[in-house]
Amino acid sequence: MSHQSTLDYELVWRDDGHLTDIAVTSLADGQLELLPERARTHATDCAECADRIGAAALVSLQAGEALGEPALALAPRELMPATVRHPLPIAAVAAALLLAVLGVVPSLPLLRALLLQTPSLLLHAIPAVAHSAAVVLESGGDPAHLAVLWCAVAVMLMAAGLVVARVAPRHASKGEH
Amino acid sequence: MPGLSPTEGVGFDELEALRPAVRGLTAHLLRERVGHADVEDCASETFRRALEGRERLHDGAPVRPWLLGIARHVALDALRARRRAALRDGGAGDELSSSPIVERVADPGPLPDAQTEHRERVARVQTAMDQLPEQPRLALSLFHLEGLGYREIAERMGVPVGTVGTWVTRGRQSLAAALSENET
Repeated sequence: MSHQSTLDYELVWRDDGHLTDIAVTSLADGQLELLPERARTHATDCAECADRIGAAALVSLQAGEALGEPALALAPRELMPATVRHPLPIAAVAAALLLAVLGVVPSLPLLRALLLQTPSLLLHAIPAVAHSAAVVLESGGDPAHLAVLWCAVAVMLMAAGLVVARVAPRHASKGEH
Repeated sequence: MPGLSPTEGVGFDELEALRPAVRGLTAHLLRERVGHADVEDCASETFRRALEGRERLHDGAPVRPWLLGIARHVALDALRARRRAALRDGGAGDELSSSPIVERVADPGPLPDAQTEHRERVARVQTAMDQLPEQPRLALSLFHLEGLGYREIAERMGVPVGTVGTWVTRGRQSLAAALSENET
Protein backbone atom coordinates (compact mmCIF):
# COMPACT_ATOMS: atom_id res chain seq x y z
CA MET A 1 0.00 0.00 0.00
CA SER A 2 1.55 3.27 -1.06
CA HIS A 3 0.87 6.48 0.82
CA GLN A 4 2.18 10.00 0.73
CA SER A 5 4.81 10.54 3.40
CA THR A 6 4.04 14.23 3.92
CA LEU A 7 0.86 16.08 4.74
CA ASP A 8 -1.25 17.32 1.85
CA TYR A 9 -1.51 21.06 1.25
CA GLU A 10 -5.06 21.34 2.57
CA LEU A 11 -4.04 19.57 5.76
CA VAL A 12 -1.28 22.10 6.35
CA TRP A 13 -2.79 25.50 5.51
CA ARG A 14 -5.98 27.23 6.56
CA ASP A 15 -7.73 29.69 4.27
CA ASP A 16 -6.47 32.61 6.38
CA GLY A 17 -2.85 31.65 5.77
CA HIS A 18 -2.19 30.16 9.20
CA LEU A 19 -1.41 26.54 9.96
CA THR A 20 -4.19 24.02 10.50
CA ASP A 21 -4.64 22.22 13.80
CA ILE A 22 -3.17 19.11 12.21
CA ALA A 23 0.00 20.94 11.19
CA VAL A 24 0.20 22.55 14.62
CA THR A 25 -0.16 19.18 16.37
CA SER A 26 2.45 17.65 14.06
CA LEU A 27 4.92 20.40 14.91
CA ALA A 28 4.15 20.08 18.61
CA ASP A 29 4.90 16.38 18.32
CA GLY A 30 8.21 16.99 16.56
CA GLN A 31 7.00 15.60 13.22
CA LEU A 32 8.85 18.30 11.31
CA GLU A 33 9.59 16.15 8.30
CA LEU A 34 5.90 15.86 7.46
CA LEU A 35 5.66 19.57 6.70
CA PRO A 36 6.94 21.63 3.79
CA GLU A 37 9.72 24.13 4.38
CA ARG A 38 7.34 27.08 4.11
CA ALA A 39 5.21 25.74 6.93
CA ARG A 40 8.27 25.30 9.15
CA THR A 41 9.32 28.87 8.46
CA HIS A 42 5.82 30.09 9.20
CA ALA A 43 5.87 28.21 12.52
CA THR A 44 9.07 30.03 13.44
CA ASP A 45 7.91 33.50 12.44
CA CYS A 46 4.19 33.58 13.22
CA ALA A 47 3.52 34.40 16.89
CA GLU A 48 -0.07 33.17 16.72
CA CYS A 49 0.85 29.77 15.30
CA ALA A 50 3.85 29.47 17.64
CA ASP A 51 1.54 29.98 20.60
CA ARG A 52 -0.85 27.33 19.26
CA ILE A 53 2.08 24.96 18.82
CA GLY A 54 3.09 25.67 22.41
CA ALA A 55 -0.40 24.97 23.71
CA ALA A 56 -0.52 21.74 21.68
CA ALA A 57 2.91 20.70 22.98
CA LEU A 58 1.74 21.27 26.54
CA VAL A 59 -1.34 19.12 25.99
CA SER A 60 0.82 16.47 24.34
CA LEU A 61 3.19 16.48 27.31
CA GLN A 62 0.41 16.30 29.89
CA ALA A 63 -1.52 13.66 27.97
CA GLY A 64 1.64 11.58 27.70
CA GLU A 65 2.26 11.88 31.42
CA ALA A 66 -1.31 10.89 32.19
CA LEU A 67 -1.09 7.92 29.82
CA GLY A 68 2.09 6.68 31.43
CA GLU A 69 4.52 7.81 28.76
CA PRO A 70 8.04 7.20 29.97
CA ALA A 71 9.22 10.65 30.73
CA LEU A 72 10.91 12.83 33.20
CA ALA A 73 12.03 10.53 35.91
CA LEU A 74 14.85 10.00 33.46
CA ALA A 75 17.10 12.89 34.11
CA PRO A 76 16.21 15.03 37.09
CA ARG A 77 19.49 16.88 36.89
CA GLU A 78 18.34 18.68 33.76
CA LEU A 79 15.43 20.00 35.77
CA MET A 80 17.60 21.73 38.29
CA PRO A 81 18.18 25.43 37.77
CA ALA A 82 21.58 26.32 36.44
CA THR A 83 23.81 27.05 39.41
CA VAL A 84 27.26 28.43 39.63
CA ARG A 85 29.44 26.40 41.92
CA HIS A 86 31.66 28.60 44.01
CA PRO A 87 34.78 26.94 45.39
CA LEU A 88 35.21 26.91 49.16
CA PRO A 89 37.16 30.07 50.07
CA ILE A 90 39.82 28.18 51.99
CA ALA A 91 42.18 31.14 52.37
CA ALA A 92 39.42 33.35 53.76
CA VAL A 93 38.23 30.65 56.16
CA ALA A 94 41.79 30.04 57.36
CA ALA A 95 42.35 33.76 57.90
CA ALA A 96 39.09 34.02 59.85
CA LEU A 97 40.04 31.06 62.04
CA LEU A 98 43.47 32.55 62.68
CA LEU A 99 41.93 35.87 63.69
CA ALA A 100 39.54 34.08 66.00
CA VAL A 101 42.38 32.19 67.66
CA LEU A 102 44.39 35.39 68.06
CA GLY A 103 41.36 37.07 69.58
CA VAL A 104 40.95 34.30 72.12
CA VAL A 105 44.61 34.30 73.23
CA PRO A 106 44.35 37.26 75.66
CA SER A 107 41.43 35.65 77.45
CA LEU A 108 42.97 32.20 77.73
CA PRO A 109 43.76 32.62 81.45
CA LEU A 110 40.09 33.45 82.08
CA LEU A 111 39.04 30.50 79.95
CA ARG A 112 41.19 28.26 82.07
CA ALA A 113 39.53 29.61 85.22
CA LEU A 114 36.09 29.11 83.69
CA LEU A 115 36.91 25.53 82.75
CA LEU A 116 38.10 24.89 86.28
CA GLN A 117 34.83 26.27 87.64
CA THR A 118 32.61 24.24 85.33
CA PRO A 119 32.44 21.08 87.46
CA SER A 120 31.42 23.04 90.53
CA LEU A 121 28.87 25.02 88.48
CA LEU A 122 27.36 21.77 87.25
CA LEU A 123 27.34 20.38 90.75
CA HIS A 124 25.25 23.34 91.87
CA ALA A 125 23.06 23.58 88.79
CA ILE A 126 21.98 19.93 88.60
CA PRO A 127 20.53 19.81 92.13
CA ALA A 128 18.81 23.16 91.54
CA VAL A 129 17.14 21.86 88.36
CA ALA A 130 16.24 18.59 90.05
CA HIS A 131 14.74 20.47 92.97
CA SER A 132 12.63 22.61 90.61
CA ALA A 133 11.40 19.49 88.85
CA ALA A 134 10.53 17.88 92.15
CA VAL A 135 8.55 20.96 93.21
CA VAL A 136 6.59 20.89 89.95
CA LEU A 137 5.88 17.18 90.31
CA GLU A 138 4.82 17.53 93.93
CA SER A 139 2.33 20.22 92.95
CA GLY A 140 0.81 17.82 90.41
CA GLY A 141 -2.48 17.79 92.26
CA ASP A 142 -2.94 21.52 91.72
CA PRO A 143 -4.69 22.06 88.35
CA ALA A 144 -3.95 25.79 88.38
CA HIS A 145 -0.20 25.19 88.55
CA LEU A 146 -0.38 22.53 85.86
CA ALA A 147 -2.41 24.75 83.55
CA VAL A 148 0.15 27.51 83.88
CA LEU A 149 2.93 25.00 83.25
CA TRP A 150 1.30 23.62 80.11
CA CYS A 151 0.69 27.11 78.79
CA ALA A 152 4.29 28.07 79.42
CA VAL A 153 5.50 24.93 77.62
CA ALA A 154 3.18 25.62 74.69
CA VAL A 155 4.42 29.19 74.41
CA MET A 156 8.03 27.98 74.49
CA LEU A 157 7.32 25.40 71.79
CA MET A 158 5.62 27.99 69.62
CA ALA A 159 8.50 30.39 70.09
CA ALA A 160 10.98 27.65 69.18
CA GLY A 161 8.92 26.78 66.11
CA LEU A 162 8.83 30.39 64.99
CA VAL A 163 12.58 30.70 65.44
CA VAL A 164 13.17 27.54 63.41
CA ALA A 165 10.76 28.67 60.69
CA ARG A 166 12.52 32.01 60.42
CA VAL A 167 16.05 30.63 60.52
CA ALA A 168 15.69 27.44 58.45
CA PRO A 169 16.26 27.75 54.70
CA ARG A 170 13.00 28.17 52.91
CA HIS A 171 12.00 25.21 50.82
CA ALA A 172 9.94 26.17 47.85
CA SER A 173 6.39 25.14 47.57
CA LYS A 174 4.93 22.79 45.03
CA GLY A 175 7.05 22.22 41.99
CA GLU A 176 9.80 24.58 43.01
CA HIS A 177 13.38 23.61 43.55
CA MET B 1 20.16 30.52 20.10
CA PRO B 2 21.51 29.61 16.72
CA GLY B 3 20.87 26.15 15.34
CA LEU B 4 22.58 23.27 17.01
CA SER B 5 25.82 22.16 15.54
CA PRO B 6 25.46 19.00 13.45
CA THR B 7 28.50 17.70 15.25
CA GLU B 8 26.64 17.55 18.54
CA GLY B 9 26.04 13.86 17.95
CA VAL B 10 23.18 11.48 18.50
CA GLY B 11 19.83 13.11 19.06
CA PHE B 12 20.60 16.27 17.11
CA ASP B 13 17.84 15.71 14.59
CA GLU B 14 15.30 14.85 17.25
CA LEU B 15 16.21 17.88 19.31
CA GLU B 16 16.14 20.17 16.30
CA ALA B 17 12.77 18.80 15.19
CA LEU B 18 11.36 19.87 18.54
CA ARG B 19 12.64 23.44 18.35
CA PRO B 20 9.24 24.88 17.25
CA ALA B 21 7.55 23.00 20.10
CA VAL B 22 10.08 24.21 22.67
CA ARG B 23 9.86 27.85 21.56
CA GLY B 24 6.07 27.67 21.33
CA LEU B 25 5.69 25.99 24.71
CA THR B 26 7.93 28.59 26.32
CA ALA B 27 6.11 31.48 24.66
CA HIS B 28 2.76 30.00 25.66
CA LEU B 29 3.72 29.60 29.31
CA LEU B 30 5.39 32.99 29.57
CA ARG B 31 2.51 34.58 27.64
CA GLU B 32 4.96 36.32 25.37
CA ARG B 33 5.48 36.24 21.63
CA VAL B 34 8.21 34.14 20.10
CA GLY B 35 11.19 36.38 19.61
CA HIS B 36 10.74 38.00 23.04
CA ALA B 37 14.07 37.97 24.87
CA ASP B 38 12.75 35.85 27.77
CA VAL B 39 11.31 33.27 25.39
CA GLU B 40 14.53 32.94 23.45
CA ASP B 41 16.61 32.85 26.65
CA CYS B 42 14.47 30.08 28.09
CA ALA B 43 14.58 28.10 24.85
CA SER B 44 18.36 28.41 24.77
CA GLU B 45 18.57 27.29 28.39
CA THR B 46 16.36 24.30 27.60
CA PHE B 47 18.61 23.17 24.76
CA ARG B 48 21.71 23.80 26.84
CA ARG B 49 20.44 21.52 29.59
CA ALA B 50 19.32 18.95 27.04
CA LEU B 51 22.70 18.89 25.33
CA GLU B 52 24.49 18.65 28.65
CA GLY B 53 22.27 15.87 29.89
CA ARG B 54 21.48 13.86 26.78
CA GLU B 55 24.05 11.21 27.61
CA ARG B 56 22.02 10.40 30.71
CA LEU B 57 18.93 9.71 28.64
CA HIS B 58 18.38 5.97 28.60
CA ASP B 59 18.84 4.16 25.33
CA GLY B 60 15.58 4.22 23.43
CA ALA B 61 13.96 6.64 25.86
CA PRO B 62 11.73 9.16 24.12
CA VAL B 63 13.38 12.53 23.65
CA ARG B 64 10.19 14.54 23.16
CA PRO B 65 8.64 14.30 26.67
CA TRP B 66 12.06 14.72 28.22
CA LEU B 67 12.88 17.86 26.25
CA LEU B 68 9.41 19.36 26.61
CA GLY B 69 9.55 18.62 30.33
CA ILE B 70 12.77 20.57 30.59
CA ALA B 71 11.24 23.42 28.59
CA ARG B 72 8.22 23.51 30.89
CA HIS B 73 10.43 23.52 33.93
CA VAL B 74 12.65 26.29 32.63
CA ALA B 75 9.64 28.42 31.70
CA LEU B 76 8.01 27.92 35.10
CA ASP B 77 11.25 28.89 36.80
CA ALA B 78 11.27 32.06 34.72
CA LEU B 79 7.67 32.77 35.73
CA ARG B 80 8.54 32.32 39.38
CA ALA B 81 11.53 34.62 39.00
CA ARG B 82 9.20 37.21 37.52
CA ARG B 83 6.86 36.77 40.47
CA ARG B 84 9.68 37.27 42.96
CA ALA B 85 10.86 40.35 41.10
CA ALA B 86 7.32 41.72 41.04
CA LEU B 87 6.93 41.12 44.77
CA ARG B 88 10.22 42.87 45.46
CA ASP B 89 9.00 45.84 43.47
CA GLY B 90 5.67 45.80 45.29
CA GLY B 91 3.89 44.95 42.07
CA ALA B 92 1.60 42.21 40.85
CA GLY B 93 3.37 39.24 42.42
CA ASP B 94 0.15 37.93 43.87
CA GLU B 95 -1.43 38.01 40.46
CA LEU B 96 1.39 35.96 39.01
CA SER B 97 1.51 33.55 41.95
CA SER B 98 -2.16 32.78 41.56
CA SER B 99 -1.82 32.41 37.82
CA PRO B 100 -3.83 29.32 36.90
CA ILE B 101 -1.30 28.34 34.28
CA VAL B 102 1.40 27.85 36.92
CA GLU B 103 -0.86 25.61 38.98
CA ARG B 104 -2.14 23.80 35.93
CA VAL B 105 1.14 22.89 34.31
CA ALA B 106 3.45 22.49 37.30
CA ASP B 107 5.24 19.15 37.55
CA PRO B 108 3.35 16.75 39.81
CA GLY B 109 5.23 17.11 43.07
CA PRO B 110 5.40 14.82 46.09
CA LEU B 111 2.83 16.76 48.13
CA PRO B 112 -0.41 14.86 48.76
CA ASP B 113 -2.54 17.54 47.10
CA ALA B 114 -0.42 17.46 43.94
CA GLN B 115 -0.51 13.68 43.87
CA THR B 116 -4.27 13.62 44.29
CA GLU B 117 -4.69 16.17 41.53
CA HIS B 118 -2.39 14.17 39.29
CA ARG B 119 -4.36 10.98 39.91
CA GLU B 120 -7.61 12.76 39.10
CA ARG B 121 -6.11 14.11 35.90
CA VAL B 122 -4.91 10.65 34.93
CA ALA B 123 -8.38 9.25 35.54
CA ARG B 124 -9.99 11.96 33.39
CA VAL B 125 -7.55 11.36 30.55
CA GLN B 126 -8.04 7.61 30.73
CA THR B 127 -11.79 8.09 30.59
CA ALA B 128 -11.41 10.40 27.59
CA MET B 129 -9.16 7.84 25.91
CA ASP B 130 -11.68 5.07 26.49
CA GLN B 131 -14.35 7.18 24.83
CA LEU B 132 -12.32 7.73 21.66
CA PRO B 133 -13.04 5.65 18.56
CA GLU B 134 -10.72 2.67 18.26
CA GLN B 135 -8.37 3.96 15.58
CA PRO B 136 -7.62 7.40 17.07
CA ARG B 137 -7.13 5.69 20.42
CA LEU B 138 -4.70 3.24 18.86
CA ALA B 139 -2.84 6.03 17.07
CA LEU B 140 -2.43 7.97 20.31
CA SER B 141 -1.30 4.86 22.15
CA LEU B 142 1.27 4.06 19.49
CA PHE B 143 2.55 7.62 19.63
CA HIS B 144 2.68 8.05 23.40
CA LEU B 145 3.33 4.56 24.65
CA GLU B 146 5.38 2.98 21.87
CA GLY B 147 7.07 6.18 20.79
CA LEU B 148 6.29 5.77 17.10
CA GLY B 149 6.30 8.73 14.73
CA TYR B 150 3.33 9.59 12.52
CA ARG B 151 4.89 7.88 9.51
CA GLU B 152 5.56 4.68 11.43
CA ILE B 153 2.02 4.71 12.79
CA ALA B 154 0.69 5.22 9.26
CA GLU B 155 2.68 2.24 8.02
CA ARG B 156 1.64 0.10 10.99
CA MET B 157 -2.04 0.95 10.55
CA GLY B 158 -2.00 1.03 6.74
CA VAL B 159 -3.39 4.55 6.38
CA PRO B 160 -2.09 7.85 4.93
CA VAL B 161 0.01 9.92 7.27
CA GLY B 162 -2.58 12.71 7.00
CA THR B 163 -5.14 10.38 8.51
CA VAL B 164 -2.84 9.71 11.43
CA GLY B 165 -2.39 13.46 11.86
CA THR B 166 -6.15 13.91 11.89
CA TRP B 167 -6.68 11.13 14.43
CA VAL B 168 -3.95 12.37 16.73
CA THR B 169 -5.22 15.95 16.53
CA ARG B 170 -8.84 15.04 17.24
CA GLY B 171 -7.85 12.62 19.98
CA ARG B 172 -5.63 15.24 21.56
CA GLN B 173 -8.49 17.74 21.51
CA SER B 174 -10.59 15.32 23.53
CA LEU B 175 -7.74 14.79 25.95
CA ALA B 176 -7.22 18.56 26.22
CA ALA B 177 -10.86 18.97 27.18
CA ALA B 178 -10.43 16.27 29.82
CA LEU B 179 -7.28 17.92 31.13
CA SER B 180 -8.94 21.30 31.45
CA GLU B 181 -11.98 20.00 33.34
CA ASN B 182 -12.45 21.63 36.76
CA GLU B 183 -9.91 24.29 35.90
CA THR B 184 -10.94 27.85 36.00
